[in-house]
Amino acid sequence: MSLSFAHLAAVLGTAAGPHLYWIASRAAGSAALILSSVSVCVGLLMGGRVLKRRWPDLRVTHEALSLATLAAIAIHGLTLLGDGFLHPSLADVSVPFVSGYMTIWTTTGIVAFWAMLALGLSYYARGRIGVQRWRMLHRFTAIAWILGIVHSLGEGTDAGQTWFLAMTAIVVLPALVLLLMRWLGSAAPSGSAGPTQSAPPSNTVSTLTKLPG
Amino acid sequence: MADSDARSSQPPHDAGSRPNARAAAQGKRAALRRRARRIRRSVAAVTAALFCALFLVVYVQLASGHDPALSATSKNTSTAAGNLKASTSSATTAKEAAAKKAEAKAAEAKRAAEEKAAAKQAGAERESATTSASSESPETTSSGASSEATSSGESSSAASPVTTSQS
Repeated sequence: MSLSFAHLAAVLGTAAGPHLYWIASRAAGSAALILSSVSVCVGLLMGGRVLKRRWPDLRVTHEALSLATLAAIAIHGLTLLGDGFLHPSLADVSVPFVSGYMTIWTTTGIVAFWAMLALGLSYYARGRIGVQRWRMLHRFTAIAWILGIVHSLGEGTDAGQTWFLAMTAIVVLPALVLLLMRWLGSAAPSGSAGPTQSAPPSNTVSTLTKLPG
Repeated sequence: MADSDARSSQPPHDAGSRPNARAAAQGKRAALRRRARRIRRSVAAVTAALFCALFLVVYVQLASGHDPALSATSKNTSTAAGNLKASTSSATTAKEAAAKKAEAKAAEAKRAAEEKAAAKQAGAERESATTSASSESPETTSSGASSEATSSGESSSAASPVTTSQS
């Protein structure tokens, strides 16, 4: 039994040994996709009335998930630097339109990362930016998230795999539904919209202004 | 909610209620902080577990030979190998044809060189015959010599193809 396990481990080690950086990059990219989608879900739930009482918990969860997403994307890009087959430079994975490999999709991912980083970390400078202005800017994070999904589906190695598509659908669709609800809710005029649609933004603003720090 | 109830039930200038309220607020704040720390830790743990799980999935997929990128690469490689084989075979055919052409060219050149050498030899013989005839009787032998030379030349030219064919 132990011999067969050792044999299996040896086979696995020899088969995937040279691709460890690449596997790590793919795993980090997929993890970033899941984390960002869950983070968007939590962020959109914060503005709603469903989980109003759990607002502090949601805020902390949203913040932690956003930071975890940024870390996962950083790992996704940096581990790719060690890949012996692709051999990308730091500029290839961090500057748009520099990489020669699937330039458009790679650029989409890079733009998504920089946008997420800037918009995400702007939370810690919202005192200087101003809460209203920061809230307006923070809405663009959803666009960065969508760009990230486009990048993963367009360039992702596992994009054609059933498990990946199922996983993406499970985490992305609820967030998309919530996002559409929010957009439709905010697009509707305040007079015609019911109290359920007009309430969340004002509620969010009032809570955001109460935030410590 | 509980705080506001307590505040409304007690008189506003009660000296003992202030430290109690402060302690309660501090306790609440500490609880909130503890909860936030717990949430952060659990998110970090979930992230690490998620990364490990996805790493394993991709690893096993790759090791078992079902990796989408590597199978595409192997497909490309096999196609490239097929193309290479075809190009090699066509190159071999072209090489063979070129070798045949070169052989034919060499044989032709050899034949031409031998004909040239034979013609040269005949010319030299003719010259030697002419000089010998002129030294004996200049008028009568000249025609005979010329006829001889012609005949020898003919014979040599006739003989040359034989030698060529033999060679």
